Amino acid sequence: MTKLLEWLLGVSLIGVAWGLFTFDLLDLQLPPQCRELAWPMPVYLLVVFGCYSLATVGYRVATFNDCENAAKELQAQIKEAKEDLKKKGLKINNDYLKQKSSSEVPLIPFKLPKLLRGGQTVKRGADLQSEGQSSENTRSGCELRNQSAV
Amino acid sequence: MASRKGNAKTREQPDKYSVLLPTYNERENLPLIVWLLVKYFGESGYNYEIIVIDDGSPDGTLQVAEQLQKIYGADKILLRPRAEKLGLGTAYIHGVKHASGNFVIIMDADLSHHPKFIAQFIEKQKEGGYDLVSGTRYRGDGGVYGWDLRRKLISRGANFVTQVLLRPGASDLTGSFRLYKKEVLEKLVEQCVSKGYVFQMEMIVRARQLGYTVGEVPISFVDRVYGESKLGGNEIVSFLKGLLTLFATT
Repeated sequence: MTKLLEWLLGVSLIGVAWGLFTFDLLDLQLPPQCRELAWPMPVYLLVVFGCYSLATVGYRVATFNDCENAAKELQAQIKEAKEDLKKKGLKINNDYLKQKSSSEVPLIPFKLPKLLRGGQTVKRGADLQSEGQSSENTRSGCELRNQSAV
Repeated sequence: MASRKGNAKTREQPDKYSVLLPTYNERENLPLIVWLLVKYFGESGYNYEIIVIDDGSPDGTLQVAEQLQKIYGADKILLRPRAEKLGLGTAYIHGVKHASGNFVIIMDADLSHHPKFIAQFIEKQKEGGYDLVSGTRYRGDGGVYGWDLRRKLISRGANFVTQVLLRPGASDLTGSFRLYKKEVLEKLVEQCVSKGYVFQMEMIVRARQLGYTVGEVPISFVDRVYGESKLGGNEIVSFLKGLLTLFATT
């Protein structure tokens, strides 16, 4: 059964249950409070789901780990790789393997995200290396935004 | 497969890992990713090969690959180029045909995926006997570098919608840093029909359908191209179309 069919089935079941309670289709003589409760249920459920979605996505965006250490490590390894490859005889452009000073644009196309409309600022690759080394607290090099992030 | 005691591996071939690297205009990144792969595989001691599938890059990626082959050996760097840009799914099919390993690793060649995680993928696979192990940016200490708020919002939002609709049992569906058993990759690629992000999603969804087991390893994703190639309206629309197609057909 496809996911679409599963959903349609689920929605139908809920719809039938709602219809039964709201319109008393089985003629069970339900108390009026029951009917009053059941009647707006679909809208309530949608609203609850909407709130849950917003909260979940908001939480996940807020706790999305940033991997500054990984980026720093990568920059350092790129330098190391270029030196090693040059020794081993790799030839590309003349300036590809030359070391430039750290204040210049990094050698390889490290395209930095544009400074944004309302997001966090991102440091240039070269600047990252001159900062004090923050402790590598995760294997991946990503700082946990929430200690219990799963 | 019946379980065997003792030194079973001496009677079978040891595990070999084939890394598929589809490339297009990666002349500058290719040497770096190969260097990192050689470094980390060397340290881990696992047997490996790297298959470079270049789609006729006009920037000379293939020539760089040939130099790398001379440096590291033709047994470690295999070149299987194609004449023109033909898409990721066919690149995998093409690559797998020439893979001599029993496991295949797929990853991006632009340094957004770091080879240091491959050892973790391999350990995870051995630990659970998984048919495929997927790198996830959304769990544990996985994460991303180089994304602004907008990009993170789109990413998490899209992932949420996907989780609700498809309930796939994996946290990161659009990721493309994965380890597959070779026969599993072969089977899945011939079944998948989507393109782009949705192709990677389809691989996992179909894997679950066919009863394959999926393990996850948190990874860091260092995005260096986002600033210039933003995720635009077109891509979002085609993602949603692909998602709905998967929703209706799987």
